[in-house]
Amino acid sequence: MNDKDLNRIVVSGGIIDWDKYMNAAHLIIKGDTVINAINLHNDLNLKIKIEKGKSLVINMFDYAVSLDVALVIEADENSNFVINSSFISDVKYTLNIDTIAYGDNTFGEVNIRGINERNSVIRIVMNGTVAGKTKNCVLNEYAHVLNKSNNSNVIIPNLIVNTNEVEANHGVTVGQIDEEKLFYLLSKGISRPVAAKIIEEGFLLSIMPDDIHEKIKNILVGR
Amino acid sequence: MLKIKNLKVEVDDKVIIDGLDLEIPKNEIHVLMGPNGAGKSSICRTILKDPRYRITRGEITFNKEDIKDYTTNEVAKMGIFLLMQNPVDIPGVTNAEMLRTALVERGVKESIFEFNKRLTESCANLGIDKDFIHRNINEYMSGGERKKNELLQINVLKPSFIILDELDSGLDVDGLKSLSNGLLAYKEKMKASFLIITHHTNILEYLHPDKVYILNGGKIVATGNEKLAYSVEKIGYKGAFSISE
Repeated sequence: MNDKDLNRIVVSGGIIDWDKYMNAAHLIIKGDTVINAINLHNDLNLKIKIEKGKSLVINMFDYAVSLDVALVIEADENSNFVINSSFISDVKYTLNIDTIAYGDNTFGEVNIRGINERNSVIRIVMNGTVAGKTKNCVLNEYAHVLNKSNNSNVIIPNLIVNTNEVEANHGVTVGQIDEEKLFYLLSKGISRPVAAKIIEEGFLLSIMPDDIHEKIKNILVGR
Repeated sequence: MLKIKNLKVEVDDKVIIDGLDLEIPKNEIHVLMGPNGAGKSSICRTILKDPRYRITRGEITFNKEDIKDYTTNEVAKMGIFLLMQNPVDIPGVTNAEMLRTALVERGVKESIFEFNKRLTESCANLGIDKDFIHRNINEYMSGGERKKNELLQINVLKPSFIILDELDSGLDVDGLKSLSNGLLAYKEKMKASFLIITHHTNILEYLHPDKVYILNGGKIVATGNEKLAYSVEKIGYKGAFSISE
């Protein structure tokens, strides 16, 4: 989708709870902003520009059959962003997050936690770019997937760093539920399926702020 | 209470316990000492029915019931509690959530308000900050805090048989004393039994044992009272083995 097809929206700051369809938009962040996007059940295609000195936190949670999420984030100097994305995928989940730090003193972090519920196809691509001639930028990319099926999961954490003065890290894991954690809960008298569910949901919630935990837990009640 | 008879246990076809006999009656403290690799922690895991530890001979009975066909959570619900050497952290899951789930699985019916009140009271009795209950399980907790957390769980879940696996690991002198006093108070109140797994006698200054066993090569090689533990501290395990021979 071209930039001209995107709706330009200016965000002046605050906490925004998205509970409706939000797609094909170009957001200009002009004030410190927190966006909570919980279980929107729709594909997402957003381009976001964070203006000088402003901060943006996006908390995304999805329990979905099939979703395609694409975010492009441009960070100007002295700006910060944290993108937290937790999801359970039933069939297909594609997540592309492109971040571009083009000013000095930016901080950016992408945290992803996913559960491959049943033979889903998960594809996560993180492209983190730090532009040339910038100084004192920090960029971290982390993605962890709990695999409950035999299907393969693809996670690509790219860091494209065009400058010397930068701190950039990435970490990726795909694994199954930790048997020691499971044994710990079993030894407290909790049955195996319930213990597994508790650990999985904790895994998803661990990157989400406390004030939206209840909302997410309510979505997971019927799981 | 807990009785182990002629027990043989294998992990990945390797024999790790062979010919173990133990009997721990109600309201008693028994201590199992031994060098690294003697099989001490394996006994904890076997009693708690960790599926990796396969019982190939003998039996373990708890309150006269054979636990052979029981699973870990079923054994825990019978009243056996394992205080692990290094309790794991579980991010995103609060202590309150875990305890409430564990009580529901035990068939305890109480409202969230009754539960919160009980938990707050337990914290106050144990001198634990009540914020503890809303923290994630062992996340960002020191060794001492993790053990305190287990003490809180004991007071809420009310087991009748408690296994302490290397309790002093990760604890300073004050922490060990405070925790031991908490466990002793629980024993007095509930008439619970304890199996203490340890390398050293530090903990025995506070929790005085009725019986001490020395384990080596998966079997008990010496049995005695508290004095045996202190002799081992002096002469070492090799010395104790030679005496038993």
